[in-house]
Amino acid sequence: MEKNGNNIVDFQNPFNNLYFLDYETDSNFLEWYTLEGSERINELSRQLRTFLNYKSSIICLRFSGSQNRNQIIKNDNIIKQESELFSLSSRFTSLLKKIGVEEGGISEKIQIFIDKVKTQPKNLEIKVLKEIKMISSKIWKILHILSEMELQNYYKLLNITIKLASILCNIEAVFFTIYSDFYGELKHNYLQLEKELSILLCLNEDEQFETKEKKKQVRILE
Amino acid sequence: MIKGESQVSRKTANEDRIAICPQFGCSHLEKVKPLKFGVLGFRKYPKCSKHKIPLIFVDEFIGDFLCAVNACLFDFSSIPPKNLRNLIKTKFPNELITFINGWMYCNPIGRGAQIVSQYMDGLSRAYMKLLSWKQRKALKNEKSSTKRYNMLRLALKKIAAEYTAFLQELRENSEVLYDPENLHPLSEDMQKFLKKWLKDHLKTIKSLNNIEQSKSSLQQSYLSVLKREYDKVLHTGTCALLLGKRPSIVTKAVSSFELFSAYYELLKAGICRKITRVDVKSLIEETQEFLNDNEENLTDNQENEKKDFFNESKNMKDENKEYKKREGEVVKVLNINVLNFRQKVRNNLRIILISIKSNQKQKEIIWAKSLKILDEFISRAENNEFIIPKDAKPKVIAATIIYTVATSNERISKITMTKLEEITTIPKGTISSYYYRHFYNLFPRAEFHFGMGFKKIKNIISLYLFRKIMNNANNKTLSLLMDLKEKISKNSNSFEKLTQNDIILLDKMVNHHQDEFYKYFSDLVEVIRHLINLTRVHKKIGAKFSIKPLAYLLKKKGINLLHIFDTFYLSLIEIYDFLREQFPTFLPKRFKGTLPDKLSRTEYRTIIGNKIKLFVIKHIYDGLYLIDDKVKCPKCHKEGLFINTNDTRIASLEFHHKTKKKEYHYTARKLCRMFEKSNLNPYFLEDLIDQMESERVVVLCSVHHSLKHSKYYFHFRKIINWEDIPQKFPQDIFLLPNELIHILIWISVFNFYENKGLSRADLHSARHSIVKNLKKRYILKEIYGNRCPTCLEFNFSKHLISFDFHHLEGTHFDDNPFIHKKHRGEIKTASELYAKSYSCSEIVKILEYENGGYLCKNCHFVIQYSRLDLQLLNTIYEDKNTVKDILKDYNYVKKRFKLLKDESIIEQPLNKTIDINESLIRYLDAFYEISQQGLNIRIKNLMNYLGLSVGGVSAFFRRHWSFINYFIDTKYKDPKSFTSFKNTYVLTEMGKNYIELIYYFRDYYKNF
Repeated sequence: MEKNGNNIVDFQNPFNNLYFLDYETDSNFLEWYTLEGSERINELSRQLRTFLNYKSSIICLRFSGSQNRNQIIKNDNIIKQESELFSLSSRFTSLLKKIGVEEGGISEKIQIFIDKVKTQPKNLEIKVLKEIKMISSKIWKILHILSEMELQNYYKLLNITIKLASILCNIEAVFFTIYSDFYGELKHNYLQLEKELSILLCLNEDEQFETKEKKKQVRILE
Repeated sequence: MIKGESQVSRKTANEDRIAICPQFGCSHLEKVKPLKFGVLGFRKYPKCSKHKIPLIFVDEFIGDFLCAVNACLFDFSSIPPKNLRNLIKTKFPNELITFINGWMYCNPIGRGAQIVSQYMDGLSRAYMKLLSWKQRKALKNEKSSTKRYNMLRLALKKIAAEYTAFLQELRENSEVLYDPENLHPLSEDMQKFLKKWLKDHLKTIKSLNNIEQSKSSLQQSYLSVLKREYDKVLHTGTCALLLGKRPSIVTKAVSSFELFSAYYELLKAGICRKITRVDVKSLIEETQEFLNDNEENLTDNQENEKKDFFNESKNMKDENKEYKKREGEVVKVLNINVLNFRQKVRNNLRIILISIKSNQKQKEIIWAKSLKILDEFISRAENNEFIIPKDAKPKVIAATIIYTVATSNERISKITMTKLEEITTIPKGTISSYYYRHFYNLFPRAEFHFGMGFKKIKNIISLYLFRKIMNNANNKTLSLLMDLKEKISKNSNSFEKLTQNDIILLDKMVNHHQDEFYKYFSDLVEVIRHLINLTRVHKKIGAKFSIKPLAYLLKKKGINLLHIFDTFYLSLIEIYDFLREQFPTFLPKRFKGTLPDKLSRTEYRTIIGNKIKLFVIKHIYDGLYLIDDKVKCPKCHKEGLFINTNDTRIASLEFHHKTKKKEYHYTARKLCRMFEKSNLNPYFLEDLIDQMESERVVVLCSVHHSLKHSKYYFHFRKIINWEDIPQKFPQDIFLLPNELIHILIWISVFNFYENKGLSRADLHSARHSIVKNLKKRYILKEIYGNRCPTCLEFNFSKHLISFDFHHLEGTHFDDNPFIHKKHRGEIKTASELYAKSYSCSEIVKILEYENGGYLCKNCHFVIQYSRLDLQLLNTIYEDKNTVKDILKDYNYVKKRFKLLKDESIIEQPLNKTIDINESLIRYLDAFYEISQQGLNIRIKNLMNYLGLSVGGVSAFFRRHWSFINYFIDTKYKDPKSFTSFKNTYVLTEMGKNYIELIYYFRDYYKNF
């Protein structure tokens, strides 16, 4: 018998006496990462704005001419934010690898890790979790800033930011369980944008002007 | 402005809440507190100081606000304006579809979605600002038990839910209203044309602004004009975005608050209608037809446009009115009265929804989505996609629509066909057939549906994965999944037993339900890995396999094959049984029948633990303990015992650590726990044996094991057992005076080298332990003779410590009348009795009342089988002869078990009348030395020898006279004085012997 969800009807549970593997939760542990959860309501509206900004950027990217894009020089602020974003995201990736995230299933892996820390708390592991949380909030901050900068002209950076945002949504959904629905939905929306952008960038690759290869200048010493 | 029906009242507010002025854009927010005692206070109905209108609660306000936003963003009028469409039809007919698609794609952002977030951001910040520090702190702690801020907490949750719903609406509409694969940039000519159109269009907006100021007298007409005004502004935003520009024009022309406020009014007046996929579809079809017919010469007529627009507005006013208008036409097509039919379905929808257990919000969503599906259903029938028969049952259609809504939306809680059958009495099959016939294609299930057919697929893919993992255990889950995915996509013949339909189902899962595919099959890979690892161990220990603990373990790891636990457990059984059919030699048998279903935690651990224990005993040190193909305690074997070296006594074998490094106690129960915690290590047994060997663990029976752990018994067994005592001394300790026994104990403990430097308390404890053992030996010897009454193999001299008191039944010392009141509740075991000051006869009385008797630890193991379920013996020892022998032994021990009964002969061997201390021994020493010098024992001699005053010696003689009598005889006694200097004593032969006995033990323990 194969059934989905909770719609089991014709099967009586014969395992009521099996309690030996019951999960024990540690309520004290839960406190540290749900802390400040309520104040994140401000963050939700900010997230909404950031998402709409990115969506808007992608639409602009799709319908604006591609000729200008190759000649645009990044302004200092974008370069600054970009480099900070890259350094934080590399640290973030290494932390995720540290807790066993390899490909996909980030939220599940983090959840498992949190459960593990809950049952056998170790300072080192709690520290890793705290760092992940801290770095993800820092990355979000940069993503918010970048979203206001009309990234349609910097489509590669746009692509990275959207990918990062969808990954971060997974993490936020685990850390802030009360807003997990919101972040889950936001993730779906970002994934939709990511898909859109990947199709769009494939199209744009064909439109790229061929860059002239710079000739090496050789000075002849006499 | 938002409605006034939910206006704030301090009378009804039970706790602090935040309220806002319902006028969009007004920044008036305030914290509303309940009235004191529900009556005292001013401003019972708080109003905005600026707009003088009653406030409403923020969480309610946000819901209404987002309703207005959605009405604006997804209004029917968001399709490209007719005049623009007509112009493009004539100038760029081939780009018309691309244009419409692009337009619909730009719509939500072009119509000002971004400004929503600005407003909400401000609102959230203001909301949080109004909260006090205490409230914010209480809200921070989700788990806070206080209910004081419940409303604030709920409000926050509601706001988050509204944001989520907004995002969901945005995403769902994006998926429906345009075709993402046909989004192409517009040609340069088209862009130029649009720029020009936009410029002209902006001019018309300016002129319309003037018109707006002279408001029409008729409210409805005024709202229609107003809507047209706003739509024009919004169209500019969409058009600008289509040209790659930000839609800032919208914000410049109209403020967000004004825009959404206006749309709220329009929504209330019924002028707004949500755009649906059908609308866009019909627009595209219309365009397609136009392209096909190659229609030309369409003129851009301003008059016509106005007319069309008003017609559109009228059509949008009320869905029912629209149907009424088209009634005659539709009846002809469908042979039913559409209006009546629709109404009947709506009524049924309402009735079913009332019966469904769900929250109001969910019901509202289901209602809205159901109506949408109903309209699409009717419109498809109108388009002759199918025919609604005259006798079509509205109830069936309503139930199917609700099922469709629930099953096609992830966010809506599940409403099963069974539930609907219960509510509507419509058979499940009917709902199912209607769903698949009319709704499945347009509204497929949001989750992958595991039908009955999936069982076969699951089994065959399990087999495939099983073989793959068996061939290469290092295969990574991802590579296995990729491999599987490729095989499914290529429709290769790797799965011979799968039909084409099965492959199609899998293909659908791969392409449309990727998340489910990865989750399900990565879980399946883990299940197979666990099965392989676990069964390897089970096979080695010769145990049957139980699926249930595995299911619990996997559940704990988050592996569930997307099922609830019960279904998951059944799936595991199916997989295991299927795989066992293929690999009967590799996979052990599974527990079947009634036992596994009732297998308790203890029983399961007993079986697996004992199996592991047996395996280890047989294999540790390369089978050192397998003597003549039987597992034996080496000590019992050395002592030449018969019963205790038999297979039947296997349960009493234990593991003893020879080193002090003792990480685990290797009992059967703990071995099972170690196995559970080993993370299903397939080499668990080998690793365990290695570990035990490194800890120098040896196998011993329970009797010999306990001997190893009794420190005092081991060191003082000479005195306790009265072992190897020279012939010149009495050959039974209990023939000695009680005080002398205590002196011997004292001198032994005092002189034992390990006791040097011990505190007085520790020395007392050591002496006490010897006394306890002597009492026990005395009682056992008096009642049972020399040996264990059941096996007759262990004697009380050598194995005293290994004898247990077995209770047949009863209260275990709780209500024993012979136990002193102060000890009631303290004493739980027989050995604790000896620790108290009870004499031997008192102890026997107490134990007799307890209804039990002594027997050796090995026999105790056997007799306690009655406490276990004897059924487990068959499972633990699969050899029938062994089980038979164990049962035979059990009956034998039970039969021979002797109750403790016989108090008449019990004396008080260890009762003493004086304190034993060093001075007592010094006096005895003096007696012996003075006698050895050929002198008589006199007070003066003793004074000289001991360096004491006459008073001290006299007092000693007075206090210990009865004890001294054991050692000396009186030669002369002054009748006048008890302690006269003239009194003369001589050391008797017996006295000399006793003192030499003391010296013997002193020297023995000094040189131990």
